[in-house]
Amino acid sequence: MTISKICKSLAITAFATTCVMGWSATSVKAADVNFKGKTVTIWMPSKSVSIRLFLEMWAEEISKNLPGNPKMIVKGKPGGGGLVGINFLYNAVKPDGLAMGYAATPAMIAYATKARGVKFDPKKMPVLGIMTQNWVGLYGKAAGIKGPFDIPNASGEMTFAARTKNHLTMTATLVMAAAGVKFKVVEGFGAPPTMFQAMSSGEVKMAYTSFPGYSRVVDNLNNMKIFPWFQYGNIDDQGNVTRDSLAKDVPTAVELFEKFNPAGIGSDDHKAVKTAIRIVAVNRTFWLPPKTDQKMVDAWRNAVKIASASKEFRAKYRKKFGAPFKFGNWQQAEKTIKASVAALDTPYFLPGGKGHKLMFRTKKKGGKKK
Amino acid sequence: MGEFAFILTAAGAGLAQVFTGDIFPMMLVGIFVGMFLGLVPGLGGLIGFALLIPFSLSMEPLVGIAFLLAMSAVTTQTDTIPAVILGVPGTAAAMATSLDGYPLAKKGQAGRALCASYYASIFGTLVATALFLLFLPILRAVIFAFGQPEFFMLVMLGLILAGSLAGNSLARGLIMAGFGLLLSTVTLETSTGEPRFAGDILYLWEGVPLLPVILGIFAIPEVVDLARRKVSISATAYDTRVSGLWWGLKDCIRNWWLIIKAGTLGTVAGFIPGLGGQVAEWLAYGSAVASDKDPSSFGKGNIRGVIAPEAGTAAQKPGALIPTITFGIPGNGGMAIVLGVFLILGLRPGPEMVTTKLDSTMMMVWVIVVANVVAAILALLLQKWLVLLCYLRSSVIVPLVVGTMMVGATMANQSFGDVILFFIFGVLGYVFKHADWPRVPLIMGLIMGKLAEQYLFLSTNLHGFKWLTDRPIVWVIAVVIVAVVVVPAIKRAWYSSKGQQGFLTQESTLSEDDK
Repeated sequence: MTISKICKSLAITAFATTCVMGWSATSVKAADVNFKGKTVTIWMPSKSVSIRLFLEMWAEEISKNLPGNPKMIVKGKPGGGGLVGINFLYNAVKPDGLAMGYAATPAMIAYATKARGVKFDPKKMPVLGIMTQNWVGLYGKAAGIKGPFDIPNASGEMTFAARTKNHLTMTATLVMAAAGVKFKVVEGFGAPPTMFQAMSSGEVKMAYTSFPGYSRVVDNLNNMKIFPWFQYGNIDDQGNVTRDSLAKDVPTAVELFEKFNPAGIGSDDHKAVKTAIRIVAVNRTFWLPPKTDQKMVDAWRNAVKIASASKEFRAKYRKKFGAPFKFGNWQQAEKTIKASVAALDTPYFLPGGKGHKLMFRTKKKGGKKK
Repeated sequence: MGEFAFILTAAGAGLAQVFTGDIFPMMLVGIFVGMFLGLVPGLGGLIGFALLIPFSLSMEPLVGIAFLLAMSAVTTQTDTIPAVILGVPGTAAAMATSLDGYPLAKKGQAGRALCASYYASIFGTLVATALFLLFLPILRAVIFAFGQPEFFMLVMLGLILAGSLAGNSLARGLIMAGFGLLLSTVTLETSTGEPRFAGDILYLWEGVPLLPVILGIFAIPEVVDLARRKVSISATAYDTRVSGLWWGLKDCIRNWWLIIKAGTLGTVAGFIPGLGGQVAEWLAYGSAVASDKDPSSFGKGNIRGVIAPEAGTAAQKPGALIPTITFGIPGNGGMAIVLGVFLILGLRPGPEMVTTKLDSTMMMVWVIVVANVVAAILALLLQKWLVLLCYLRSSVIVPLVVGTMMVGATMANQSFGDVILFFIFGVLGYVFKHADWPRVPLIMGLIMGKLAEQYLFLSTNLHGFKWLTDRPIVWVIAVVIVAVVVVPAIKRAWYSSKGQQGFLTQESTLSEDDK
């Protein structure tokens, strides 16, 4: 055998060996999606006890559908308005499939508006699903109205309690403007019970809360003479808004806008109210760290999808939290996020636009505006 | 009369429910857990609470609620133990107690201080229960009479009380309170979304964390001094005859009127949503100082300085329960968590909790009372061994305390930033202690600053500046604030003119071990 033939033979052998090893490696990876004996961490960017309870319940269900049924633990990583947790998941957590986390609406809005402190990019993170939630606006005795459709007859300024300006206060402002009623958002309140107390004592006339937060205490609120005046409802791909099945008597914000200002249908303000519903839909998005192996991602997506669809889990959730579990799988999540981010990328919501001023916090004097 | 009979019947039925086979055992478990959580600084309060909630959800609703309430009720019993023995409050609600409790421990009277605190807690909850029964018909009017301006004034009252009563110098106390308020401004400001004094440090965007600051500022100075002196906490020899059991009880009986006052103040502070245990303890402590013949004795081992805040803090718990379950408006941070769990367990807050379901409500109130009694008995049984901690040599106690405190400091955020803050405030605390600048007002400023800012912001946003002129309750509280500042100064001047020593000079305020 000549040297060249030996070299050629060696080269072919090396090439063949490399191919076999490569194929074997791929096969080992695919076969390695097995969480048996492992512990998976779910990072929550919040200190909320009820969110922790939900995640622990949901994690138990997800584990049943992950290969190997790993042990699941929930760990808190609060701070920075939710940014600490999602930044941590993006930058510090190993993409080994053994950790998952979520970003709440404020973090996603911070990303969409390129706010300070954002150190994550959802485009590089595999999304697992999206949890949506309805919200209701409430009015108290001091509002002096008989019901939602009586709003145009309100006298005096309507004060609306809120934590901060956001898409929820923007909706209320636009609806009130459509009704021709003087309106003021009073920022700085804490959790909804503080708003309820202020409404009961007559300090503020209106507020909002999440739908589960409302439905669990509706009798108590009614006793305090606090009633709903709008809900966000559900929006489909065609932009049609419908009332939540559990709140059929409560009109949607869009309905009220169209009733109070029929001439405004199709206007930027009208579209903005619908945009708010899209944003509201992005309550919590669940992610894996970037560069997680695709097989891991697929295993997670499958497990999350089955767990979320489980009738037993949904019944348990409904019993514990007083509202249905609304969850969209990863494809719906991607679509919703894309639609929400795109909706915000319009002159109406860009800095200087009307929606921007209504929805985002800005410095009052001197300092740069967001 | 009929209504009163109904209330008493419901109270009796509620008490009977506490001792049923389902509820009592789990209540005992909650008591043991709560005692442990209160004893270990960092675990008490909301953190340990949140960790154990999942267990309560697997129980029957009333059993789960009894477990949680019992656990929550007794943390303020055992948080007194590190406050008295080590000078480190187990939770923020034991700061006032540590002012006089720790000096008592140094004098070899730790047992007396601890026993007095247990009895005061029991009597405080009984006062709260009696007040709840008496004032049930007018609760709603009381709770909704307060708005943001009144909350702001009450928070300022608590802060000024802490600033004026902790330490020997009013000016220094108020300056430290101001420093605490400054620290509380480090956060992500909610109305503009801009970080305020926090830059890009996400760790500080939710504010300077309280736990590492409290533990650092109190624990490090004490352990450094112990290590320096190479002695035990107590300067006196151990006396096996003294456990404080009867001494503490006699102290409480002698000060029965103070307990009623402190309990009333604590209950009312609990009724008013959003104030928290800190205001209750300082209102109570303030009433003790104001009514004492020798106010200068406070901060140096006056047993009334232990009895009053303990009674007030304990009374605040049943007080805070009431708006939580009758209106779904949490009386304090702990009750906010309890409310969330109540809802998940199926309890619906509302007027029926004080009408058709009053017996269930009374069961919850009695759980708090009985839990305090049981915890006191258990703590008294352990007293002899607990007090021995005061006599351990420093080479044993110092590493134990530092290790425990450092772990406790990281419980909230589990971040290395907690460790850094712990040591920074440890150094600051050492300097403050030896320069005779009171540390308690700084902590109060840090705690109350966020609340004060929120309420002030809302007051001006809602009412402009009219809240200063149009609201009578605001004026009443303002008068009390002025009295708190002015009356002790007048008393001091009066005592001085009578030839008695007023507040001691700076040199003599330093304890023997600091010289």
